[in-house]
Amino acid sequence: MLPVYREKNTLVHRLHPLTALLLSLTPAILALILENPLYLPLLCIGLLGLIGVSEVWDECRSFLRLGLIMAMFILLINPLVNRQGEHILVYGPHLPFWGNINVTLEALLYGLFAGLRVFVIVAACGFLSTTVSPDDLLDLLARFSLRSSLAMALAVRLYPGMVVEAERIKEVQLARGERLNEGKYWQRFKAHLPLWYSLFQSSLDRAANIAEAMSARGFGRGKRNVYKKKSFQPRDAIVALPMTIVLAGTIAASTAGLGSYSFFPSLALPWNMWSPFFLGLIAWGNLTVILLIWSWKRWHWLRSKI
Amino acid sequence: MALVEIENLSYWYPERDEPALDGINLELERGEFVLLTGPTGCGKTTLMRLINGLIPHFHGGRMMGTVKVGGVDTRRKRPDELAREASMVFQDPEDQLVTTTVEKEIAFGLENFGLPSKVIAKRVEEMLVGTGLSRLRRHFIPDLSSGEAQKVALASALALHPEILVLDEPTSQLDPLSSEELLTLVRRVHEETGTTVVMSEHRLERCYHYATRIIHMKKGRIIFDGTPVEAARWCGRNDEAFVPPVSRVFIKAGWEDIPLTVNQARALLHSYGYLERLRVSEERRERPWNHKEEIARAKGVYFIYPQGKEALRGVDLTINRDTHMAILGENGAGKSTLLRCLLGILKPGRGKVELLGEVPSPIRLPRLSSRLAFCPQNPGTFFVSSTVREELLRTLLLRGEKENEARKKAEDQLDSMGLMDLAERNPRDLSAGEREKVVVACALLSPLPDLVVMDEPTRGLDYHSKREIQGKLMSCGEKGCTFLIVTHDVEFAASLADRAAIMGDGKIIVEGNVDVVLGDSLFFSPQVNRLLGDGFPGVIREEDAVRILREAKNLCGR
Repeated sequence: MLPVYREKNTLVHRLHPLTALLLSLTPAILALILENPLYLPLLCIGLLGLIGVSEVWDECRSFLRLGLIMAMFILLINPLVNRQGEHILVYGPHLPFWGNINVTLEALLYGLFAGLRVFVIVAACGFLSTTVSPDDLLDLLARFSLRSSLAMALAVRLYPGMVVEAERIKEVQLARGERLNEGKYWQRFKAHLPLWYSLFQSSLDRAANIAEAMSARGFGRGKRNVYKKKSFQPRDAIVALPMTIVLAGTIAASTAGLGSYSFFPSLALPWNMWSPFFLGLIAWGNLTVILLIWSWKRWHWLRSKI
Repeated sequence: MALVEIENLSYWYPERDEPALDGINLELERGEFVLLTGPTGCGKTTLMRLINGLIPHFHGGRMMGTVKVGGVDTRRKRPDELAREASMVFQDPEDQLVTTTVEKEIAFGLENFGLPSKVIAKRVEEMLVGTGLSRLRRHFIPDLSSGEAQKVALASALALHPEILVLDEPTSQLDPLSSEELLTLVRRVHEETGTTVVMSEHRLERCYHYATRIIHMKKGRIIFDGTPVEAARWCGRNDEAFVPPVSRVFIKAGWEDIPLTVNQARALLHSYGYLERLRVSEERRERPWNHKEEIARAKGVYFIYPQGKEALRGVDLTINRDTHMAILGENGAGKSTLLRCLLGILKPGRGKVELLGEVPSPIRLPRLSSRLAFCPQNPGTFFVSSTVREELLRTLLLRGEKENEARKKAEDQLDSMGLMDLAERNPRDLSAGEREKVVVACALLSPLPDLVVMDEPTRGLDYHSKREIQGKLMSCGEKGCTFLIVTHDVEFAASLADRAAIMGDGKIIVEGNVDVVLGDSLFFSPQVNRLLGDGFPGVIREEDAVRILREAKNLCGR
């Protein structure tokens, strides 16, 4: 299924775009700030819970797959290129200009941590793009920056089109005799290269066409008005509050150096006196919002009140 | 003062030496319905982009002369400022809709102009009601059919209350009924509001009679400017084919009076008493029907998309060797899904598919490439090389030819298809007609494939490009090539196919000899059949109609 926004009857889909932006980007920001590997799995579980309870699991699947591939790639590459760390697990060959390729325990765990971080960021982007209407986001961004909103509108319009176009190109090239599904990974990768070229060219053409159509309808002439503005509702405050507390608490504590962690030269102990604070804060924030979304769907009284 | 004044205008696109427009002088008055005609690449789209300022502001390039809209030089006004004076509807609905819901899309332009919310709400409502889109108000745009999407594009343009409505081949992606609906809407807007309409279109039978003025272009110049009747006469005198098929057959048959519509043509024949003298002829062109050699077959095929749409509901279709089969039907009828099932790209939920003696699948499909050629709807998905020559070479190499042999064959094909001048050009930079020609050249490389599958091969093509491609296909057909063509172009299907099927609601509604299927239809029939079908039910091709009209001319002493 295409990872595009579809209107659904969940609390997340009813939120003001600013609240939804805060909800989606909080896990991504936390993943970037937090240095301790202990907190990331919790963040990850919380985000997957949010995706599930917001009924966008199917739509997010391709983002999750992409995040997983990127995480695996980092996990595999980092130990080979990162030569820091004291505990050598594998002694590799000596390469000219590079030296010994030794795999250390620290580099391996750092790769796992960095991979998980990327996974959370990609998953958060998937959550954002499948729960916030691109029209609402465009209206919101256009208030601050017309250029970035144009870039976003183009990206939002292009992405689903690119997915469809990629499928079409693949079908046509299969019929032309391109053996895309045969051979080893390298052969398949090589066979796919012309497809990427074609897709890139088509996307450029399409981006130019959409930009032309937007220009022909007055986009970019200055201050816009919004036809149907989404107003802030009590539900926005109830969702934004725990997210703001989690975000502010983490930023404050991290700035004070309370959540710092070091992988090199040797692994530090991840558990310290501040760990319960961070774990508790993340768990509380996620659980509150997940429970709220879940209850909103099932409890008419709550729906009518907020 | 004229609404649009163009004086001594010449224009060059960036990095081009040849001008796209050359010495244009033109005045458009309020309330005109102007139809731009001419071959692909003659400058119609460029002229329309000038009217709403997209040229030079968006496309850049070099411009000489002046363009004034409402008395203001378009150089001094950007397209976003001109949008309320001249609104544009583009060719491809997919590339012009920006938001995700119908209501929001109509409001988009109004929001950009910062109109008060109440005004926006009122205009959105009137557009939804006026264009019959109310029931689709909250619909997700990617779920709309092409016809509905193009209607949304039209409503969005009209919501700005423009003085000029500019439409660039608005029906090129639509089936006949959706096209008719859209053009009726344009005509209504023109008649009821007095909006000036400037439109380009290749399927002239759909709109020629709506126009109050025809401007014919060639190589960036205006070579004719007059009323539709004058234009038809001018085309007759100058051997130009840019008139509706019904006018064309009268011109070719040597008639002096040239009708523009089927109704006018019937009235003309009736006034000479010819219609009454028509013998009812049951003569139909039968081709030998080879029941033994099946090239492709679908038996009881059902297919449901993951989103739940039941696209095929028990399709039975057999394509025998040496057959030219055309499949017609409205958008969303299941034509493309059937094609993808036949190629093995989609696996039917139920039923059987056979292609060239095998059960097709994505793994088996590449192995059939020496016996099968596929021409997609969008040539952009076909091209993966940077020159036309390389594209042909690549096709042969994928078919398993050796490089030296492939190079020679590619050169021969470039020569025989008249593509030598374009050999080093990037296929993506070519005009629609040239791009389709390159795809056909790749498909018909020697040795000829057993089956050529074509999805909408005439999209955006002018009459001459269509005739040229049709000629190539016919000559390959005579050498034993089988064709399966999915098309909305009834005239093209009538002139090329010997069998036809009409699909609707995921099923084959009717299948048989092309003159029976298209001859017995009201909307899926070519214009010449609507004219002469009473007496000659099997007449669906222009050549046959010309022959009959010549006889009629002699008979009536015209």
